[in-house]
Amino acid sequence: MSAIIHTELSRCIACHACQVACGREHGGAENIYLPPSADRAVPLVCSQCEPTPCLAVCPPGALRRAGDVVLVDSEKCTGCGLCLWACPFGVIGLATTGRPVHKCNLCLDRLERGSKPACVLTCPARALSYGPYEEAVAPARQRAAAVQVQAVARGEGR
Amino acid sequence: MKASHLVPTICPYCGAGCGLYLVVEDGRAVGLEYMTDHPTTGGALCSKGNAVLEVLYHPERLTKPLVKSDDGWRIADWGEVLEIVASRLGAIRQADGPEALGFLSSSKCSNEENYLFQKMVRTVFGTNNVDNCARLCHSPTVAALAGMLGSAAATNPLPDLANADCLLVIGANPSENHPVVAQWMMTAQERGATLIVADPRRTPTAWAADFFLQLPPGTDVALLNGMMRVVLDEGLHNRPFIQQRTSGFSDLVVSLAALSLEWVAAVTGLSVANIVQAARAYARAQAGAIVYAMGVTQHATGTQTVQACADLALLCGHIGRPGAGLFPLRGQNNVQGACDMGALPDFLPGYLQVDEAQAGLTVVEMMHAAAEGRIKALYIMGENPVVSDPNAGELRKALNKLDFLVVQDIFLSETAALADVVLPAAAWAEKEGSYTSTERRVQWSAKAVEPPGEARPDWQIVCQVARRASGEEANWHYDSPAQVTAEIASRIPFYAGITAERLQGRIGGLLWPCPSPEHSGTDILHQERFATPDGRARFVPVRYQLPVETTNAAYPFTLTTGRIGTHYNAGAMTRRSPSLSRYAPDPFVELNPQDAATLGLAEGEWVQVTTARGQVKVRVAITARTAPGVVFAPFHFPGINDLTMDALDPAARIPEFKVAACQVSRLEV
Repeated sequence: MSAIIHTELSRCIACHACQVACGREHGGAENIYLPPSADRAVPLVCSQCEPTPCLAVCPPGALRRAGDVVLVDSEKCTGCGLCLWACPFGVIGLATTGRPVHKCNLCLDRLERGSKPACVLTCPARALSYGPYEEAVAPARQRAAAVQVQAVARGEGR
Repeated sequence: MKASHLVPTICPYCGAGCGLYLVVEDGRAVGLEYMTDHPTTGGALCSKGNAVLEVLYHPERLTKPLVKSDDGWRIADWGEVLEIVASRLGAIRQADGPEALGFLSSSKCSNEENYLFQKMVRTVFGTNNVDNCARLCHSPTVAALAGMLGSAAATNPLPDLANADCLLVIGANPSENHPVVAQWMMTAQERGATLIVADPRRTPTAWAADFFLQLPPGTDVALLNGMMRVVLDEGLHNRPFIQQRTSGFSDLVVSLAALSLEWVAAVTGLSVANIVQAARAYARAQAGAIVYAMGVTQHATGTQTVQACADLALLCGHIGRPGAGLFPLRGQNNVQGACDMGALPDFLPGYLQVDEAQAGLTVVEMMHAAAEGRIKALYIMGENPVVSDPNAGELRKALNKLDFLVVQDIFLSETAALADVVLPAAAWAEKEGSYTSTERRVQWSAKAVEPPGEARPDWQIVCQVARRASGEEANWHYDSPAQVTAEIASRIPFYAGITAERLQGRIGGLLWPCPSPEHSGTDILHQERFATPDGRARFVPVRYQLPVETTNAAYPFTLTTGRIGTHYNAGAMTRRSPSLSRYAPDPFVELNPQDAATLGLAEGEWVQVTTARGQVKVRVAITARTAPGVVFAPFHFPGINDLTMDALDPAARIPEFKVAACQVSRLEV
């Protein structure tokens, strides 16, 4: 199964490290988002969806899938912005100079060196991980189970 | 692809001591890499660490020595400015005595630089008037824990937090301000640990809390005493530990005898039930950790509040074992080191106590002395008191009264702007040296690139000033920082096994005490005995006291200051980093929606915040994070400290930053 970036919401502390790291690695274009909130943190990053709404809607065919990752061909991109509308998570960005669009590329150059995406490496709370879905979801299930066990131990029931 | 190499450095921001590699190509740092085998971080780095290159290559970096003239700044050469500094300081010393001089060392500079600075102050200029900004943050930790435990440092390493089954985080917001610590706290919680957070604001740290105790600023002693009352009432105290390893328990019992939980509830606004639950959770834990920071220390009762934290830990026997300890979160990247090196008016390197009659002045006392004309010259290295010190309006007047002010820094900070002479210094990546983090971790930061223009490493500048001022070479000839490291090892017993060679290339460095070259450092302190003369820890009972300034009709809100995650301290670095400052480009205060509604204020509106000492113009951020009646002001912007008071803790001489009375009003259009 494909390896993508997973976000563990219970761990995100809204520190913005992932955003600063991503922007630095990608010439100022940030591809991970943290909607502002007073008491919650929901980091949003491309899920490299399959089927792929952004790719399906792109008129010049500037989006293509290469294995696990969906990439933008900046030569073909016209900056029309339709992919921004199609993306269910709002994680495609329009560069301020107009075109092209930018999106998470899983830090492909890092993956090729045997490393991991910068946001994953930097996250101080270990809220981001990179790998197949099963690897990410198993610890999440364990965490959820631990919460329930604790609650029962405190006499709070389910 | 160009050939590039990785240089290991230690982040110049906070005391978490994160390692990061700079990617150097053709003499320029073109990127950074994560140090994934770092024992504390696993390679993690917060937003500020990720933005360090914006500081390193900022166009405003000081590159030339500057001398103030009637027409503004004049660029000078090193020969001239070193002569000016040495001769002006020498002349004032000659005319008015060494006590007319004051020196602020930098808790951002390396151990070697701090050691040399205090050596210069003491042996060349003949005074103990040397201090560093630990004064403004953890001086109560030193004052309290040195007496009670014999050692004032964090008792356990940061990853050990994962081994606690109860975390009491009081007056601290690690998820925001020491973000890499969050991973260990969360691991503890995933293993079933209970997280108690006591803070006037619902911070990101509090989001994950099992018990969130939202108490008013300055009431922590009442809460801690209340918790101890519960522990004693329910017989949850650790009798064997108390008997074998402490003294003064009966004094504590007597002091708490008349304490009523109803009174504690009234003072703290918490319910008796909540106080009881929190106390039970901490006392019943196998291993309890107390994590604390400025909410505990930055008060005129800061020393007492730290004492209350330590009393609670001793009462429950939660010291000296994995997961059980006291974790003061130290702020600056090398504030622990600056103190270890004796850049303090009352301690020599290694905490040898200076004779009380000869002890020098602390930071705020020096500013008061300057205002009164008793101090006529200040030499400030890597500090920005105009922004970070309390009652800053009066402080600016004091600095302007000086006969001579020399500031050594990487930027023309708000303090440097007032100087007679400015010395351009190298940034962390442009020099090498050792730095000691909040967990006593001593690490080597290597030199990656050359300093810009005429900027020089601080250790070289200090040696050059010392040579000129003393007229002698012998004590000031060092070929490299490593030689200074060796001298430090020969002077400080708990650094005796730490050499540059051992540190270089050793990811994670060494945790002191490291008393010999074969010793591999010490994880957990106080395992067998405390560092006191009789080996026992001493209880010190404390009584709750009201803050110095309470609200009244003219100033009906409680002002508390603190930090946010995307800025850092006086802001000289982060306000110049666009990827960080965009999150909070303007000074602001947090106001509860109820208060905002009463005042008729809209989100983002500019308002005036006034105290008895001054006023500032800030934006208003309306959030339920902060309780009604409380106004929270991040202090990263000039002017915020015009509002705060310089009333001092009598033991630690830390100012009462955390509580003042203020008014918030619409700006007159």
